[in-house]
Amino acid sequence: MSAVLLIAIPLLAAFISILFKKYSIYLLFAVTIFNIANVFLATEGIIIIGGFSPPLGISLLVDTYSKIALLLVNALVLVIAALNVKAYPKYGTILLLVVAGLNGLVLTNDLFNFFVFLEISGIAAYLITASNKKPITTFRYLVIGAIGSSLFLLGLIILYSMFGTLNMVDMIKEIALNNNYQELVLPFTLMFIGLGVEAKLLPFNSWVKGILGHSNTFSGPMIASVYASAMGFVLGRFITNLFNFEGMLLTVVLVILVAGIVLSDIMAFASKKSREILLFSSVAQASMIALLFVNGIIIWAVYLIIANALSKTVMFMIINKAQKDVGSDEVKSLQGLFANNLVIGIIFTIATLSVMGLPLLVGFTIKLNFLTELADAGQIWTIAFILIASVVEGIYFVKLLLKLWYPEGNLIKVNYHLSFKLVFAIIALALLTFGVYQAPLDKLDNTVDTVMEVVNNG
Amino acid sequence: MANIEYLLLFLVGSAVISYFLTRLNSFIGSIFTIFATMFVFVSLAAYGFNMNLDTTVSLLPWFSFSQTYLGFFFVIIIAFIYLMVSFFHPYFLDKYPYKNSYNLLFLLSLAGIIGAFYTDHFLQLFFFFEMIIWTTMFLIPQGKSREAAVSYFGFSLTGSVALLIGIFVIYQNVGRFDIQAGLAGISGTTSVFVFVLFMIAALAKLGTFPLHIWLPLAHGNAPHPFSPVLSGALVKLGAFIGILALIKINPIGPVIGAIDLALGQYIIAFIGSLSIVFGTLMAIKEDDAKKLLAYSSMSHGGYILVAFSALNGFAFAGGLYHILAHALASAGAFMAIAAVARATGTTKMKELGGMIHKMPITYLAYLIAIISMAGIPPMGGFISKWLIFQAVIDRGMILIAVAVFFGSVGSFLYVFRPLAALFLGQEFREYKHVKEAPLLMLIPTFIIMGLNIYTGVIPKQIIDFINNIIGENTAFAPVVATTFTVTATYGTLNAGLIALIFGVGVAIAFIIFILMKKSRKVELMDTYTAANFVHDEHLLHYSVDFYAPLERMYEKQSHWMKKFYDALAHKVKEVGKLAKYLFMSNNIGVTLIWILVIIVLLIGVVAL
Amino acid sequence: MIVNILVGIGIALFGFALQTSIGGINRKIVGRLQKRHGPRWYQEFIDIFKLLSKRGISHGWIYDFGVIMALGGIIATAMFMPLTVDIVAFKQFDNFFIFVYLLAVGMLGMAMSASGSGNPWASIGVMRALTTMLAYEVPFLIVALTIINVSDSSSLTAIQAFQQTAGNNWFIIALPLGGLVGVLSLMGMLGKKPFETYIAPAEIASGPMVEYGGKQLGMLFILHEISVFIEVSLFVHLFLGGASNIFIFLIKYFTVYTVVNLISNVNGRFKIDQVVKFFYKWPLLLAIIQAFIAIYLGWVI
Repeated sequence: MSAVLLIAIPLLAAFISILFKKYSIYLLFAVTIFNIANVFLATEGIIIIGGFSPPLGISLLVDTYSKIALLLVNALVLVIAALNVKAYPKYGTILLLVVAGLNGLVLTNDLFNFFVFLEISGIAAYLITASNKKPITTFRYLVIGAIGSSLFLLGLIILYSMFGTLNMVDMIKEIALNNNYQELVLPFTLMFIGLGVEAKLLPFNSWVKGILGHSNTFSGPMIASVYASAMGFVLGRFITNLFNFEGMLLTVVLVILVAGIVLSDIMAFASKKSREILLFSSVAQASMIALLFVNGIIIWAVYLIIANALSKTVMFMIINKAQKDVGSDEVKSLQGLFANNLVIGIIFTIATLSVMGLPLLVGFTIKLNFLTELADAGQIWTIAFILIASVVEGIYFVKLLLKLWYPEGNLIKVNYHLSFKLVFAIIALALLTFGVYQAPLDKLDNTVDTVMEVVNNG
Repeated sequence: MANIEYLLLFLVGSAVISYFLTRLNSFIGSIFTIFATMFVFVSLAAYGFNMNLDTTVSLLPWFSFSQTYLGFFFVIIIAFIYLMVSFFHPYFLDKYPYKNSYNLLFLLSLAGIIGAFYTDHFLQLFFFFEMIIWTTMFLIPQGKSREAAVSYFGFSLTGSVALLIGIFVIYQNVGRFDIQAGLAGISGTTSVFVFVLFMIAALAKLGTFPLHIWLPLAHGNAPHPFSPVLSGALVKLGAFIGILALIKINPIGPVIGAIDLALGQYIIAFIGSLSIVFGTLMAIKEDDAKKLLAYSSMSHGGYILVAFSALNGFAFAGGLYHILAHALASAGAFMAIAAVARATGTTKMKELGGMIHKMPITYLAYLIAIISMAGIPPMGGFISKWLIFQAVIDRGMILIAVAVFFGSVGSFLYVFRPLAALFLGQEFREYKHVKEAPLLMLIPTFIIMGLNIYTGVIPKQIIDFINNIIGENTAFAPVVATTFTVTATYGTLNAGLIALIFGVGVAIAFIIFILMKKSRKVELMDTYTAANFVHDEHLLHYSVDFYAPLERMYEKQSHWMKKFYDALAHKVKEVGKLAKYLFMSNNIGVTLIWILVIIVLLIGVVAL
Repeated sequence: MIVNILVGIGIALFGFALQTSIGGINRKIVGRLQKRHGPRWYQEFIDIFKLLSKRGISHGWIYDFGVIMALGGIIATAMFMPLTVDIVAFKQFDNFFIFVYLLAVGMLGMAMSASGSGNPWASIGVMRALTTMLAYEVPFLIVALTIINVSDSSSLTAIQAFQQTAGNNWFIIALPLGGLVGVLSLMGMLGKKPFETYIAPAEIASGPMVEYGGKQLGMLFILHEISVFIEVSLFVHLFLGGASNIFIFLIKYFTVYTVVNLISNVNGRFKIDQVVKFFYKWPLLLAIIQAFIAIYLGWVI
């Protein structure tokens, strides 16, 4: 089956779903399941659309990297939508747009086409965050998102005027021939910032606090897991293949990212609201992922995206559900949440420990591996900063965990549906399994990303 | 089953089983835990002493193990403490909010311990360390305080992080994670750097100054049966890292001529002596018996550091001996306090009195433990302190000696407080119903009592084993020991003779006592009160602020370190708030400014 | 071995008899100083035997056990004490630290017994005794460190022999600052004014002893005499060159005890915190200076 269907079918379904509003969510289930199956069947390589051979037409690139991204995004959308089918049933159409947009982002090999998908998924994201019932934050998200995508577009235009092509593979070739990095600093900076806004890198991410700080069981995991991981994959693609930061730009980017990790963890440390803690932790993780891509540690960045997406889905959903029932997301008012919800508590703990990178969980395996590769690259100071931030991270997460486990005064009542528990348990089990059994993770390496291969071999 | 891999898997498996058994019935689960721990301890003891454990791996291919005398020394002590403490579980678990997980986490942390001391790979060492930290971190809050767990976790994590950075520095220079090769392969500035990082880890885990804040919090508030593990076993991880840094890395730096010692070692010895002084002073003024013992652990951590810094054979031996003696002594003392706390529900000395009349065996256990802790013959603590004194005098480390002697005399003061306030004095009416600890809890009490005496009377076997460690890890001369004696620079100590003569002395005193007229037994309340009628035994019990005149002299200074760390946490929070203000503003313009700043900066730099 | 133990018991007994007599003589001397007749020289023996033969009270088993442990510990310590270079029960094993720490067993036993009596005055006395100990021990141990380092042995007989070797001075001369500290510490150890805060008869009703009578008090008297014997002998051996024969020992012993006693009789009493402050000011500083110049600079007279 063709990979084009991964984008086309959701788009088509989105239009159809407008006619059958009631069934739109079921249409979404069908489409995502179909997509997941399709990912397994899709053949790898460049797929040319409409018969125009590159660089003229739009082409898609299917490789292991994009397949992982597609699987993750579609599966997460399916799971999140299914778990929210009662609470938020009317978002079928929008989610179909999300699927189309994100799949397109991951797959496309054409930079302008990429921008289009960025806009589609962006609009869908604004609509999703409307479910927060905090229009002002959504508005801010919209404005900052628009600024981000215009910066991206501006950078793109400069690149186009320099090289006359929009095809990514083609452009990489041209850049290699040109071999003058100085000229590229401006467009790359603009594009990096543009993507950084969506990937919530500090300091371009002030929208996050409003959006995730008021999120619900639906918008929380959608933005923090689905969008974050899709953007992570896309940013990784750009950093490793197109940007290839050098010189001063590399230094600045590294400083921004390391500062992002440290400051986000400190901000989380200073927070008293549970959702804020989670969102700042997500920001730190986003910077970490970008940092790994900058250092060329692709595969562990990919695993980090996956592990983080899974953990954050669980964490945001548990906290947001509790917030909904209790009416507050102050850690203080959620004290003793797990005293009556043992299973949920254990799952949340496992997810948190994995994010903190403690042994027996997959987060630890990933952390040690990427640190080792950073050491190989001679980045001892980066390691030191990451680890110092991890102390702060450890402390605030442990504080949160212990508060949630140990009641003070009245027991609060939050009921989690069995389906929640089931799905979360599977995720927790996966985190545990891969934490103990690392062998399958070693099967893939940095060659999952094949853009350079395509560039070199045509 | 003398294979380390199987032991680890066995422990993990039993951990899971114990969870379900404890769920079913906490008594059965705890008994199972005792047997699981016992099995591991016996396997280790049966094969480990002669390095006969099987280190091959088949089921866990990404691990690799090797056995060393040094590692075994630690592992057998810690496994022993775990075993002893597990006897307490059946009587304590029911009080804890998440009792089902207690045995699970307990056994998992033991697995971590065994792994940590048998691995020959740095990253695995870190893996096991972190595993110990998080499993134990969840055990602590089951006691009295959540803050304690956070503090414990924070400091331990700081230590682990320093260790990991050190490991990566080694890796960058040596190119592999092998522990022996890594430690041997670094030199010059790198080794100084690694030394500092490893020492931070050691100080944090050992709970020594200035990274000691967690120690009284965690020890004092942990579940009663877990405090002995923390103090007797887990802090010794720090000593292990300390040995790696001080003895194995031993960076070459400036040497202080007068005492012929490298500056690095002297600084650590100095930190150790600060730790001794602070720990002693804080212990003297503490009211909670467990916190008092925690501060004593801090001061003993200082002794261990001083011993390993002195860099010679008997100092090293003294340090190792002290680890053993202190593990036994502090486990014994904490277990006695735990037994009292189980019966009375408190560890505050001002709320207790006269427990000796209800719990004489527990009292005896505590007495023997503190005699060893204070370094008084004929207990193990005396031999180790004697060796450390020899080393300090031999080096002529005068300032360190002030602290060492101060801690030694000061320990008489603080160990006596629980003895006087908690066990002796007036018998409180609210504890009339209290009974001696049950038989199962007395078993480890007796065993530890016996070992405290054994280590103080017959040093031969222990010194012999320590000589193996010296031969394995250092170029120091082994310590000469016969069955009852130990020899160091300034003479020979005959521990057996001291015990014998002490026995003779007591026999003479006993004969005098028994020959004279029998005394008339009177009530405790029937005391000299200058003809005042005092009706309430609480009024006749002098236990609050026992050393008040002494405490008053440093009352103000005693909060400095706590204030420092509070201020540090506060500052970090303020930075966080500032960052939120700067980056997470509700004003979109702020974000725009940041974007512009970065673009302008880059363009500017590139244009230049 | 049996012979050695018997010799040790003999030394302990000798020490008891010696100190009790000298204590009696000193009471006489002090009496004369104060224009009194003073008691007979054997008055202290009479007191002790009278007490032992009386029927007293007991506050429970720890009250008795503590006394036995205390006296046992002190007797054991005395058994290790050399009288001269040759008269010693266990050659080589008369290690300095034994005297410091085995003595502590006795002290611990006594403290235990006193606290076990249930009288708060006793506990306050114990507190003060321990605090005083914290004060005087550290400077004393620093001086002892210097002596051990200089004479290269921690055996008391070896330290005596070192001082008696031709060319070496007594340590009170060789280490003058240390000698001064030694005298002050000795006064603290003996509980002589101004450091007698823990007994303080009019203030805390005799402190640790408040509840005692009969044989228990008698045994504590014996304990006190023997521990004074140990402390004074320790000073003689460490600072005054020990003794090559028993007569020299007797002379030195008598002199030291009498001098200290006379000094103390012209002093008032410190408060307990003053004791601590005092010892941690000058004596400790002097001890450290002495150690520095003796060990690092090698200036030993």
